[in-house]
Amino acid sequence: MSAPKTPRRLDLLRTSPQLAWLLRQRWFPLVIAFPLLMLTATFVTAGLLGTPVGNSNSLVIFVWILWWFVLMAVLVPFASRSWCGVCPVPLLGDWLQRWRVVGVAHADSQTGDRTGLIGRNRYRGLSRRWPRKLSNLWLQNAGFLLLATFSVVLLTSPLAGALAVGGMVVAATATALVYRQRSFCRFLCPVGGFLSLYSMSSTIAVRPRSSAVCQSCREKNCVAGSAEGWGCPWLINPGRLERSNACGLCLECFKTCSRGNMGVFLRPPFEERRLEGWDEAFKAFLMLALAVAYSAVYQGPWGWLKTAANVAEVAEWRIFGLYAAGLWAFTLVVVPGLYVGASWLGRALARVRTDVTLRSAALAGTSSLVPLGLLAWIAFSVPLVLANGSYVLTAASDPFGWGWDLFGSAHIGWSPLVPHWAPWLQAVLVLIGQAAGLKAGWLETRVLYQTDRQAVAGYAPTAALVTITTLVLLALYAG
Amino acid sequence: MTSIPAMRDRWFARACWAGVVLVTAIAGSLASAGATASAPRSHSILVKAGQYAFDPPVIRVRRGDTLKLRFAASDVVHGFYLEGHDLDVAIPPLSREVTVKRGGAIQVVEEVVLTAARSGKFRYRCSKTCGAMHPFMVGELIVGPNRLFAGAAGAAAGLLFGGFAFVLVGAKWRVS
Repeated sequence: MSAPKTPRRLDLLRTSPQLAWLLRQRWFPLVIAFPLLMLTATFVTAGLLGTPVGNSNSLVIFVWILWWFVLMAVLVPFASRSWCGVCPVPLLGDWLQRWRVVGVAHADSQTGDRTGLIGRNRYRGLSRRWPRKLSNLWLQNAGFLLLATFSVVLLTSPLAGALAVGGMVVAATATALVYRQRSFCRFLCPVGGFLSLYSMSSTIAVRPRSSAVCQSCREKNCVAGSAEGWGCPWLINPGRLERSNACGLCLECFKTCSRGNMGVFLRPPFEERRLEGWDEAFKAFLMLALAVAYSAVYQGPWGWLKTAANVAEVAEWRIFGLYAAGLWAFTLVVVPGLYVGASWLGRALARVRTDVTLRSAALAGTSSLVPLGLLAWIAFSVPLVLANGSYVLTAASDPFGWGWDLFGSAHIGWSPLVPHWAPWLQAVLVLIGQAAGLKAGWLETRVLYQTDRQAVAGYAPTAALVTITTLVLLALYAG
Repeated sequence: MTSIPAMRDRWFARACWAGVVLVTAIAGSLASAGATASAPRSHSILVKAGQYAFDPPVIRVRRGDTLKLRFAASDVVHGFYLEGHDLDVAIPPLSREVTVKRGGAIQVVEEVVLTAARSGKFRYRCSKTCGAMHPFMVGELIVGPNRLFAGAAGAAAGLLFGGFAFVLVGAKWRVS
């Protein structure tokens, strides 16, 4: 047996003291989140009061085209869940819960008043614990599938988009008044669910710089809070952080840690691989299946598929019911069934008895779908931006579609930017996803089996399925 | 720490894997070219546009073929923007004549003639806002041989088989 490998990583705070200073400031990342809240309010207003033509309304253009592309192609791969750190959706809930905008409500040891105390911070609201049975990704999986089912309405109707974004803000605020800290972001937000999964592939990770320092620490300010910051709003113990999934990069632990032991590390992509439960595996199945389905509906040439999905305009609820049933069957039964079946077959081929369970084999194999799914989503987003990116300039000048021309770009019209490059870029992205996926799945499967031969037999059916999925994506994008 | 010989082994295996992927990609690309060689042909096609699809949804031709395209819109004004071909056609409903923007010039014609000079997949998109799903109204011109798809499919196969081959060969090296 070889010794466990030390993770390859670069401590960015050591190389950049200015960054270390910035992350400790109470006004950071609020200084980014607050303008984003103002922008979101503008987009929601545009959705409610602006033009109903989707490609002239800033909500549709900025949220579903620009934000989505930046999120999937830039932020998640290169900055992990940094979006969660600056997301405007939970801000109002945070402020109501904390009764502070920037500062910290710290327990006053003189008075002995324990009202609203969680750790050493004081909160408003009911501050209930999130139910243990729901402390997983299942609600986020269900929420995202529900939104995805009505995606055509959300993508094309500014009003529906405004209600969805506004509804998220209301839900986050209401949850913050009942449940403690960022329970909404952690267990309910449909976007947070897939950011949690794909943050594993990111080149950035927040971790303690030295686990020994955290073990010897008695204050545990990162969990309990202090006068400098709030106890981890994401309900984790930053001192034991080994996975990126649940860390929302709110940066509170950088402010509370009196020893300066929290670090931001640059690491190779796709380094984190382990899935820990069926909820995470189903998130991976769901996201990959939806990447395939969306590619067919939005980028495929099949008019009947668009008609079936377009319930708001066509109002054919029976056809839409068939579409929804097909989408749910594909995402919840077909794709998971194929991948779990492949793991079962691999286990049989490897001829192991009881030491490798179907669950562990399936979770190991499913780790292939994290890089593949992320790259598939990036590939899906590429033509959206190349073909329709010019709408961003138009909508920036005329966000409500009322005939304004704020920056002189309202009349540039539809100007695709090298859209014929899309199949090339998409093919390369999907192949990178396949290569990284095969590597991730192999490395996770290898540790389950005693020999390379057993592991090859155990992983071969899943690897073949990953390759077939890649071919399906290639056929959709370039075939 | 990883020893230098182990690192060399790893980089050698990676280089071999990349080599296999390159070879299978080129093999796929060449096979697609060889399998479909034939003389150029001419195709007369009526492209019907309606919310939110083109008919035919997919046009398959070979490189060098000539396309004679006529257009008809069944409901509202649609567009036909062919990616990578500097061609944008405005199709008014109930009219045989269309307005063509090509190379900076604007013409009103009944038929658009173009040569499929490059192979690959080129989407045609509606370029006139025609309704809610307008940005997703697309069709596909596939000009064979589609070297990109064939090469990418070859690379995908190479990634699978090359990966397993080097795992097994690598294990043999380590054992011996």
